[in-house]
Amino acid sequence: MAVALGSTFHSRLNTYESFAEELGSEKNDTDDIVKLVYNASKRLKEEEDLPEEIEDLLDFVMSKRISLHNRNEKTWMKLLDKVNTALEYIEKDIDENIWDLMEQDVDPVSLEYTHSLITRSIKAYRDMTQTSVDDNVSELKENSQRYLKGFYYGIDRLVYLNSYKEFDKDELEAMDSLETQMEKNNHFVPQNDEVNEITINASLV
Amino acid sequence: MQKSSPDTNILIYGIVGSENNYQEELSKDYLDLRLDDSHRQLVLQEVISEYRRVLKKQVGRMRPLLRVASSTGSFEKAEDRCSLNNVHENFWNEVKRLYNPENVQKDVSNFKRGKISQMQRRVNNMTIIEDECVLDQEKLSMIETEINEEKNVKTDAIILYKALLLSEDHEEVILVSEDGDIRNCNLKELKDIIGAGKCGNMSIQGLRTFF
Repeated sequence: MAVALGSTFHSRLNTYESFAEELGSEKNDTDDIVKLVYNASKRLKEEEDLPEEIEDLLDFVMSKRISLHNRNEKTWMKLLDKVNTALEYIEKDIDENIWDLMEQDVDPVSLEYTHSLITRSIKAYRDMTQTSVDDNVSELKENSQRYLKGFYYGIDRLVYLNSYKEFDKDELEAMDSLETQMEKNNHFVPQNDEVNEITINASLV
Repeated sequence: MQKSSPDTNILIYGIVGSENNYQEELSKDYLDLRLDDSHRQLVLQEVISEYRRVLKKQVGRMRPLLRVASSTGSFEKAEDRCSLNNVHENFWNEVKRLYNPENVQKDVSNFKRGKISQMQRRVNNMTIIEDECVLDQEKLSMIETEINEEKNVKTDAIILYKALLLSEDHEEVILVSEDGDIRNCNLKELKDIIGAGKCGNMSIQGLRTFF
């Protein structure tokens, strides 16, 4: 998965902000992922240089609205797949490029908190949708909302950080607290972060 | 379930460094105690938030170095170009030992995620135990009353109370606070306080030394 060459990280960040706001903002009163992505499609349809993975997702929702409305299982699963692909792209892009903001004097510790919240919430969402499809639907919805809100808040804070360079102590704690709350869910079990048994300075243990 | 200590909070001061030498010394003292088979302590602590904070802060402070190391393929060049003042030496040396400079940005991110996941599992295990605790508000209030001149009284009282409920046959526990402070707590005396509804054999001054 390659990051789009024709756009800068700053311009992609604006796209992610719009995308995340539709998916995870408090202003949305629905947990229906179809409606959320549909709203994002309407908002982003005029935008140029959309990353391919996001454009593909938006096109899919626009073209499959009837099947999705009728809850066609195959189409529904395809949608979740495409949401995950788009989020995976964003996660990778953030992972690779967020540190370049240090060149604009953005505080590295603030970036660390933001990076952690964004990548963790995306990963949690992907893990959940890939492993919990047979679980209780209401729990699935509740959790997906929680993770998408974490994603939105992280992106929102990254945009803020891009302008204001640094968080204060309260802001850092708020981000940390959100990440902790997100993971306190008993149903969340990290799938791919296998126990990292590398123990730094093992002689201490 | 074994009621062992989720001791990682204090371990992190030894592993990734701390704000001051005092915490690292505490870490060493604590580890010495843990390695001594004659002690069977229960350690209670609020771990996850502090763990995240320390880990993120330490990794964050290293990011400028990691970025230069990645782009130049050299840890030495990173050290030449960036300040090492705020970076914990132990942590930085171990990162250099474990990872190649070319991929170190990503490797350290994965390391951070892995460690937090690992910690989360440990905390989840502890949460199950804590959920079994039913705190009698009247008794909790008694403990609070005894320490009512201390800061964060409620939290400390809850920790003490949980230590008591989870301790079973232990007569003494070691409490590790979020800032790395370590105190011994004699549970028998605490039981006396709650059981008698008053200070029992212990003076108020004596109880305050727990914190």
